[in-house]
Amino acid sequence: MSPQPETESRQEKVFQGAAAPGEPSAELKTLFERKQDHQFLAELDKLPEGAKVKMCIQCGTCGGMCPVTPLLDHSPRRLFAMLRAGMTDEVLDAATPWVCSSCYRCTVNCPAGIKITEVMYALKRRAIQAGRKARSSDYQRFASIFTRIVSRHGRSHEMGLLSRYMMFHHPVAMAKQSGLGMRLMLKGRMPLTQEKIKDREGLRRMAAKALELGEGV
Amino acid sequence: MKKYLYYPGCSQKATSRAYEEALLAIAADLGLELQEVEDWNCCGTTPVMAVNKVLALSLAARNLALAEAQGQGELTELVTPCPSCWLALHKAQHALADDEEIAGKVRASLEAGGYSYKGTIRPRHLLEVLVNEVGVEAIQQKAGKPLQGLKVAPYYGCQVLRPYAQGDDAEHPQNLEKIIRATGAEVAEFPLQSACCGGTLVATRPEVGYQMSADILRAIERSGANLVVTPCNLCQATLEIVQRKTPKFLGHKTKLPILAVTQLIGLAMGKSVKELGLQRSLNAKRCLRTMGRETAA
Ligand code: SF4
Ligand code: SF4
Repeated sequence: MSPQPETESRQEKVFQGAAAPGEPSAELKTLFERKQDHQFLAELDKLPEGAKVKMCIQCGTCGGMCPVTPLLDHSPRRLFAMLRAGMTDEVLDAATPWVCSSCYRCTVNCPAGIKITEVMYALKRRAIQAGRKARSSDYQRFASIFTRIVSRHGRSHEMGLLSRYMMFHHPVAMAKQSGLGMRLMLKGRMPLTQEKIKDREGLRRMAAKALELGEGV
Repeated sequence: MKKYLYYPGCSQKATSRAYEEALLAIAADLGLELQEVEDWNCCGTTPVMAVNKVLALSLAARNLALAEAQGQGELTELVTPCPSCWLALHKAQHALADDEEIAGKVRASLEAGGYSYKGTIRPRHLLEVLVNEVGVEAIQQKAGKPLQGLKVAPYYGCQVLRPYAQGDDAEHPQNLEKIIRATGAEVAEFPLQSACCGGTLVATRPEVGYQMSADILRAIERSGANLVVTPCNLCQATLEIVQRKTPKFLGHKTKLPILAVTQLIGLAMGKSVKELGLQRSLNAKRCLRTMGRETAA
């Protein structure tokens, strides 16, 4: 609804008035007709972790080292190229940030010194804030349940987390995994009760403030 | 006695209880006095960072604030056994020092909760403290029951080495190897020793998360190791869980004991099965047999 001031249609620039001897291919057409949105890249540029995204030299080291390559729909390299091409929409719908396991292998090897893993976090946050649900959903739900638990009680609780997450999202897998949960419980490794810190009042006030101040970064 | 503030992290009270039990069993002998930070909270690890950066950093910073108050300027080093917690605390410490804008927001959030943090705490990971402060000589001296004949695979996982390899070499880490040798055991060399176990994907993308760990287990098995030792609680639990499913991923079952680094040291020190929480392993019988401890329950 709200128009994006930085948005422009490349097609208008490239094709306007150009007498077309041959129509552009469908693929080229979708690329050229796409709205470009550079606003997010500009915001990212202001963050300490995002400032170097523009310096990516497209070497491919990141994608080559990533242990979850089979799950990536775009390598970090491609995501950064897309960002620079104004394809913010596609970037925010990408699965890549959500399957990134935060192993930091790309980060320590990137010749441009881009904090790739931290950029992945920034992409996740923006996707959540922008209400993108389609691709990412699983980890997104997991993360929000986790966040809710720790901001209320101060401690994470695997049993509560997993049962809430699995019950609603993977009831069949949950039944399959319940044997494992049972074993961990018998070994004293999965307490049933939620641990709570004492100063939950202070924690909740802190969390409320942080949630408010953390919008948009 | 070397005194440290101590931050256990949530999983040391649950899935990784044995890691902490073993730590507490060996600490005094190694001259470590650990003062648990009162009323600590979750470090705000990866899932929170995906939701809200200020919240994630504030959760970590609350712990730094509590540690600072408790240490009263005398104790400033905060030790934690969990690599993920360590990274979260370390990152918060960095952000507060280097990034004014974020630091302002984190401080305002702390204040809203009634906390304040001057910035004097230094988070350290236990593995590095064991090697650089306690020292391998001390470990060797206390190893009254050296683990001769055992071949141990050092598995680091990601976050003790990346992105900040504090107190070790990121490319060629040696801390675990040093500890293994100090216990009298032999080091089993294998590739993938700092590969990602896929633990964060086990709940959300099991097919991929499991495969990542299965590949690591296969590499370890091929090295001829009798057991695996790791400084990471998430890796430890993940490898153990995935090992139950290896036939599906590798075509055969791997049967390796997977221990936390504190358990390995404790074994060499002759601590009991109970003290080291070995009975909590998912393949406890196999663990005890490998260690020649079948009877000593
Ligand atoms: S490793 Fe760094 S510079 Fe190379 S493609 Fe990836 S992000 Fe770009
Ligand atoms: S940090 Fe994420 S994107 Fe980078 S290599 Fe690891 S899993 Fe891949």
